[in-house]
Amino acid sequence: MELAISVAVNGIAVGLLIGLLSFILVFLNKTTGTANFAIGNIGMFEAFIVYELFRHGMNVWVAVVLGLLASMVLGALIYQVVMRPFSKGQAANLLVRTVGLYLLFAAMADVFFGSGQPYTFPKLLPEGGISLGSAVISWSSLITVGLVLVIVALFAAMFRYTELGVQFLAVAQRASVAQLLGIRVRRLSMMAYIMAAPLALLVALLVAPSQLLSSSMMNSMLLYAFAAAVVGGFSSLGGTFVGGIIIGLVTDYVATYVGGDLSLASALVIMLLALAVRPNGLFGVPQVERL
Amino acid sequence: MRPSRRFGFARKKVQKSTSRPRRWITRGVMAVGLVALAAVASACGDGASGSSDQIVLGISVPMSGAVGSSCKPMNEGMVAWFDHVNSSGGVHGKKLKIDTRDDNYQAANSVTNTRAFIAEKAVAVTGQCGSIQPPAQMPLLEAAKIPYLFVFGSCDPCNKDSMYFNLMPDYGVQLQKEIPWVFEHKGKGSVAIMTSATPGAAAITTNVEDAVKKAGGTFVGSYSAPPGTADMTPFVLKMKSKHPDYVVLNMTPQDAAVLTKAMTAQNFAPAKALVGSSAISQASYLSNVSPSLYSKVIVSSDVAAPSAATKTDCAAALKAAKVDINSVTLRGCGTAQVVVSALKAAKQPTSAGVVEALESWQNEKASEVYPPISFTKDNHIGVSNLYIFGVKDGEFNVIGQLS
Repeated sequence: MELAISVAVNGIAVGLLIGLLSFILVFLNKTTGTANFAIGNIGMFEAFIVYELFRHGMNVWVAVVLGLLASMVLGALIYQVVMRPFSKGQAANLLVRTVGLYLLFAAMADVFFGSGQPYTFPKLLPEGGISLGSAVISWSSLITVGLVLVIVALFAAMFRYTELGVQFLAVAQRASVAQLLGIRVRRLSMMAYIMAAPLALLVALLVAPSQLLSSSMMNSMLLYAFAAAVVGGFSSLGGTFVGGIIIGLVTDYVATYVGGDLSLASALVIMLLALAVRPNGLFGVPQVERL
Repeated sequence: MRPSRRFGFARKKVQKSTSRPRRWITRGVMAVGLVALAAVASACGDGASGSSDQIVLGISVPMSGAVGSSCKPMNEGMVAWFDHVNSSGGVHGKKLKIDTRDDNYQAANSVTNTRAFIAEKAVAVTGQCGSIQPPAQMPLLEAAKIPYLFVFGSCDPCNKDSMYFNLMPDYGVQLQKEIPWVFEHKGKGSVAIMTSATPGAAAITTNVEDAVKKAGGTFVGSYSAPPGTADMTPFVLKMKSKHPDYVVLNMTPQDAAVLTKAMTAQNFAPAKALVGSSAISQASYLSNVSPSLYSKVIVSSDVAAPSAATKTDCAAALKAAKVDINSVTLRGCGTAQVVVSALKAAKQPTSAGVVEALESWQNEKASEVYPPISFTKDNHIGVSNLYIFGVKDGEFNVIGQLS
């Protein structure tokens, strides 16, 4: 029983991190119309930039702040250079562009930082934690949960109380109508990328110290995040965290009680089941088109 | 209805079709000509070992990817020694040409690299690091009769191949030998094993379980994770629930590092020792181990500890090449020394000559950092006297030796 509780605690902490990456995917999907497959690798690439700054003698926190600022610029560039040109009515084309970006960032990380990877990333969060029976809830897990809650609260406040947030919601509901009402959809899309890129870096920074920094570090995380988005509902921002927790719990329980080799497979099975039984996920709403 | 008119181009197509065979013949002749020209050009080039002034050695190694941080320094150590040999006149009056190619710890890439080495007529393929690639490379090298020298990894299925030579015993054999040693020095107890899911890992688990039972211990469980697994906490929690005296690690250094970090985060350590093979007897693993676990780390190694090799020619060559001196770079340098010794011992620096020379070695002191090496026609594993390392002042040091 104690083991089951310990696994549950870890599964929830990991699930929230998966949920955060999933949240970025759904946020971009809702505001720009395209779920960006590259978002995990964008975060990974940005984390390498932070690591390089640190490696060349910069204080790690200064490097993180500079990395966050640089990632905003990178987000804007990605939208303006890759996603925006000839984007109208090109859903499949845009999706392929994100796959291209995914491969491009992985290749660039290998070329620029790949030699000698994976690297030990400096500790950002305190070690140790709170004992709960035989399990230990690490401070880093608790801080991760806190950070995720703060980010969710900030986004909720933005959607509810700011003009920008309301415009995001309008675009998410129906972009064409929002445009007719005078909302500058492309400017909003760029804003979405400017917000998403630092969030991706944040996820990578939370993952890197407990693992190791490498060009493939976000691959499994991205798959889990997609599964979480599908389970939660690709149109529901809040649902991503529920989906993340479900995926985190299931994969951890499978790794513990069935076998580590089946952990990733279990996430994909859940995703396929969700698509077959509840195509809009737990919290998604069906897309209704007027004929 | 006349479709040809309707689509406009049909008539033209029909007219042209009469000349198609001639056009294909012309193109075919041109293609054959180009291939012939390329063949002549490559034969005239100096890339092949067939040229009289070079000995080509192929190295497919993960310079990047999941184990790049361990394998790249090993390659740097090897190249430092080969450069040193070249600057001293080479071997048999010939310079060594080292073709290093990154395989990113991917079997498919290592196969591509191996094909290139075969095309180059490499005398030997050496310097591999990892257990995923050798089973993919070996059939090609066996067919081409090119010796595959001294992988830093495990390849149980390769042991039957006539072109496969290794210095260290497989990780499974190392762990099997280590179990009685740790029981003798730390006391018998319960053992759990954690493995990276690489080829042969299941067989190693079985062998370790047998060794534990044979030595009078109890086996409490085995756990396996794919290489590069992000979250090792579930495995740690499960091991923690079994309260083992020993945890045996049969993992890549990077996976072992991630697991050890998760162990520290969960306040878990085996009661007596954390036991590993030469796969983790390196700084890239130790740098990720919490100092609170140092006293529990026991690993085997086929090469001497860096502290015992400070006055060697290898250390001097590494220093001259501005390569850090640590267990991995020393292993690289030492491996290169053995390769050079084999080339020197060969009557002719050819693949067959190298195989013949190696199979004649009995307690050959072919390197400063390896124990004496012996091969026979039936035994292609050269080192049997492994060192046992503990950790002192944050570095590996010798605490025993296996016979």
